[in-house]
Amino acid sequence: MSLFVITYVVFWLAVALYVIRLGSQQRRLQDRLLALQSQLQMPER
Amino acid sequence: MTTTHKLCLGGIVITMATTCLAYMGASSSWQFYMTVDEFLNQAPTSRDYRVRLSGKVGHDSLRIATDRTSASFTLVGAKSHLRVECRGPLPDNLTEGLDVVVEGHGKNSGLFQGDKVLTRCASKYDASNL
Amino acid sequence: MQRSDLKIVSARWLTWLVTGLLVAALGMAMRVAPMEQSMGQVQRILYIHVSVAWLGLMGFAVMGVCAMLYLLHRNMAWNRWSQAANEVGWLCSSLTLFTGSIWAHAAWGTWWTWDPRLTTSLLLWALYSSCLILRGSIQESHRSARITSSLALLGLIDLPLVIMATRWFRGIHPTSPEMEPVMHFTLLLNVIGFTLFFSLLFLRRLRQLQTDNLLRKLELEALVNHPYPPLSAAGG
Repeated sequence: MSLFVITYVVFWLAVALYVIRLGSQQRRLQDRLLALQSQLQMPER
Repeated sequence: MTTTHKLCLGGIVITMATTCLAYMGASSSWQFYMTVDEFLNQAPTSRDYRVRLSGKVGHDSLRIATDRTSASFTLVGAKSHLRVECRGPLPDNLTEGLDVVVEGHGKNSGLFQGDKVLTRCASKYDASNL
Repeated sequence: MQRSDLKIVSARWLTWLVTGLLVAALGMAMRVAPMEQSMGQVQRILYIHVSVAWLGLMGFAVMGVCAMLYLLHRNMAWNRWSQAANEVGWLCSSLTLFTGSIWAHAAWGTWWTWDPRLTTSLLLWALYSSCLILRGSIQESHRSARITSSLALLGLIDLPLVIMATRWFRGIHPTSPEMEPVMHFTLLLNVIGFTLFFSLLFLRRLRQLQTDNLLRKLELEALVNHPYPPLSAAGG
């Protein structure tokens, strides 16, 4: 495989890793939001 | 000392070390190279120091060893030229007429003993006919 | 900005536009643009190298300006902008060094040399990395923002050096070489495509940081008003 193709592949892999990381952070935020919602829906003791 | 302090210290040390390394590397590199003419304008006795020289590989002058571990050629400047012998890794695209930068020592004999050759990009990117 | 950027990030048409632009840019770079005469196929690295190099510089400019605004107003919103620019800019700066190194090996015959442009770019990457490390290591938010902003502001000095290195100092790195019109168009398309793409990533990250900040406040409020959360929600 040509050197420039390998460079392009590694380049996009690195970008994809960052996008995946953003996705997992997004999911974590959504989990926190759901937890907060269910906490707020609880009757006060 | 807390983990935060240690990490902060680490960060500062990394920055300082990189800055020092960059400075040390760059202090001799702000003039990354000399031209052949500038180098030859110096007295022959004061040429024995490590320097990078820029010029063109002269036509009909390039001899490359079969195992590609050494080469000799004439480095051509605007007005003058210099014989170069280079031992060390050679770039794959080393050819005659190409702009190169040679790193090495000047010799009193008028020969330049190089150990690294860098080929320079063309100032215009032309499309290949292939 | 909080509301408007939300709209921009969630605009589906923009995502499709950026995807289309990137696919076109990739196709142009790999197929349509002609092969360069002296360097061959490896010269095609130019299209991604220049794009991320420009974005690395722009990222640092955004980070530096936001850091300055934070230091002036002590408003954490600016620090979130600075952090988002820090992360995306670091990625671009790292990719610049990576693609540049491979291209240098093919074009110059070396992976690295202490050329002024290369040296100042490495320093820029080190500054980006230091800011990231500092952000991650200091717990107290204003203290972290203060120290990181000061370093980012100091690092702004390096920016003109990187940009002007090939003009101010003698080096091996080329200074805007002439090229065929097709190559020029491909480069422009890549720069526009990547600028939009990384801007979207930046806005997405900024939105996450803003949401995180809001959630922290709400979680604290909820803890005060509802001190006993249900077990199922406590893990999040």
